[in-house]
Amino acid sequence: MARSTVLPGFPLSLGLSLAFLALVVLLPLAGLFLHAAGLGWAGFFRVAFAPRALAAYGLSFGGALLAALLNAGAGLLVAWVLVRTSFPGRRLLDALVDLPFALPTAVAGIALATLYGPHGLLGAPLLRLGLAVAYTRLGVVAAMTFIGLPFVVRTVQPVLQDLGSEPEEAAASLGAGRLQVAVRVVLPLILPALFTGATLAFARALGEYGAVVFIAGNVPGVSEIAPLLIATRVEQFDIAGATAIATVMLTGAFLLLLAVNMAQLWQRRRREGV
Amino acid sequence: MIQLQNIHKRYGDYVALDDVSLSVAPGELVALLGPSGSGKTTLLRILAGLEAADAGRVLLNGGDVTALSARERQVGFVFQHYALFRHMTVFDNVAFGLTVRPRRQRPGKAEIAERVHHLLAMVQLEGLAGRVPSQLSGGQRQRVALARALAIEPRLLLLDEPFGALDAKVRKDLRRWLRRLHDELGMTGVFVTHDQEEALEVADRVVVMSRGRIEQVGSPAEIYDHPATPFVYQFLGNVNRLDCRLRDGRAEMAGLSLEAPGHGGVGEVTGQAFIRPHDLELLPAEAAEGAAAVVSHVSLRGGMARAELMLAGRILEAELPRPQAEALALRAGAAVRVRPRQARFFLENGWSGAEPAVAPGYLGDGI
Repeated sequence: MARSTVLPGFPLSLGLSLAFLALVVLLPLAGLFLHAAGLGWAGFFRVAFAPRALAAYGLSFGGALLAALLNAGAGLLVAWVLVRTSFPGRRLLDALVDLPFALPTAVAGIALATLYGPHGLLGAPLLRLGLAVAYTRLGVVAAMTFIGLPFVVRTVQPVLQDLGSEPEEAAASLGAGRLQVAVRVVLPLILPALFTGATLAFARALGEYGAVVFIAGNVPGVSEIAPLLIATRVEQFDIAGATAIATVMLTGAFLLLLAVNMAQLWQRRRREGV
Repeated sequence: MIQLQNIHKRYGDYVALDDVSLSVAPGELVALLGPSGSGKTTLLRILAGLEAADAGRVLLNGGDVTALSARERQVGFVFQHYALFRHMTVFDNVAFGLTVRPRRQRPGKAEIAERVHHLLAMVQLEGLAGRVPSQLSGGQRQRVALARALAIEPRLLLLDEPFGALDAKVRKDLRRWLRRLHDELGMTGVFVTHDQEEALEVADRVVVMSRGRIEQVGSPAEIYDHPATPFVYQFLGNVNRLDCRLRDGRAEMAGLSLEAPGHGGVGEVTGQAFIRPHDLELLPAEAAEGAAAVVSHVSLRGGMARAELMLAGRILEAELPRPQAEALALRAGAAVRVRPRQARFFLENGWSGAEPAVAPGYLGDGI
């Protein structure tokens, strides 16, 4: 009894995508776990949960989370401005949004370090106000925010475009103020896209290395991110140690992304089940 | 009382509205009728405050609301594609206008619920309060949009192509229902449509628009029976348009000849004649009067037959009761004679006669 469907080649396309995923994603990751296993449980715990490593995880995950939240707010605003308003130079601004995508991350890192450095265009006045950005945790968050912005803008923008201005106009004609329109009409409608964009920005910030290390100062236990710790181990030919830290990061990231996906699913179910 | 005074609006080089003035009496239901691009929707949006006019004033019940935003105007607006909040239930959609009021003016929860249920009963959707818009049919969505707009007790109700997206049957029911609802509520309303049948059936008064200007304002009967311009003639109902030549109170067009009583002693002038299909009389081929024509197509519509005729190389349309068509044995290829009962003339040197004048040089505009 063959089930008929209008979508063609289901077994083939499923097989191909699974094979590709296994080859490109799962296999290297399996190798990672295998390498880390060479340390034995005691050795693994000693390396992976050393105080220096724990501080690095804290900074990487915390900084990425903060950057994702900042980007959710700022990215939403940028997307709204790009879709709903028209002003001279709008297209230029639209193109600028993609720059963090295109720029080699080291270039971005050097640019940010110069800008926020003690003698930098922004760094000098901020320092006079008592706010040191470069070579601190703040600098890490700044770099992470920079590279994550396009993810939020580019996921929210098409949804906002698709929505059209009519729901906003309808709300206004019913007497809603600007804040009420934003909170009660626009936000709920684009929340799934915003969620996705922020998740992508978080994931990118978590794994980012090049843009961050130039501005972070990399003081062990203070402004040292986990990817740098891994790179340092590799440079010292301590591959097993590097893979141990990488395993913790990977597991943490996977659990977080899984939780986000489940939350989205739950939200969608709740909405449709009204 | 609504008054629009000398409204101008342009988008870049495109003139959407060119010096439009209009007033609507309290309790009146007015249709803005015109082809797409005639400026009717822009005019409606300016009334609602969703669009700002470049020049001109909008008065609502005597007060100048030109500078007020849509939010402050208290005008109900029903969008063409409903613009329902798809993340809210029907109940929350209808209640929205009440729940966004400042705390001091906001009714209590129980009162809001009572008013929403009253409105839903009025639009015959009592059982569907808990649904979301995606679970409703087009006609139901339209009625939710209407209930939502009425919830704020608007001073004026505006509807943009209210039945445009619905199928023919639902459309007909819904427009009769809207007319009844309007009569019960006595609310002032303005709706936009490109469907002349809809405008003539539902509205108290019809405003015909073309190219950002008002062509004619009048009751449906006035508009249909006494079109003021060639455009209105063409736009409302089917019409045959023929080049004609008038001389000494007689009009000649494509082999047809007709008395033109108002045109005695004008000398010879050319212009155009407009003849409604039901004003074309068909006679047997052996009749002595009329001009010879050949039937190219016959279609039936209810009790009427519609015949397409070839007359001196032109296609004319005639409409006649079916028994008459059967008596003439009308079918494609048959020869008949055709005679106009009456026609309306728009002349190149201006109109003379009992009807309102048409400015010289007007001819040809917008057709």
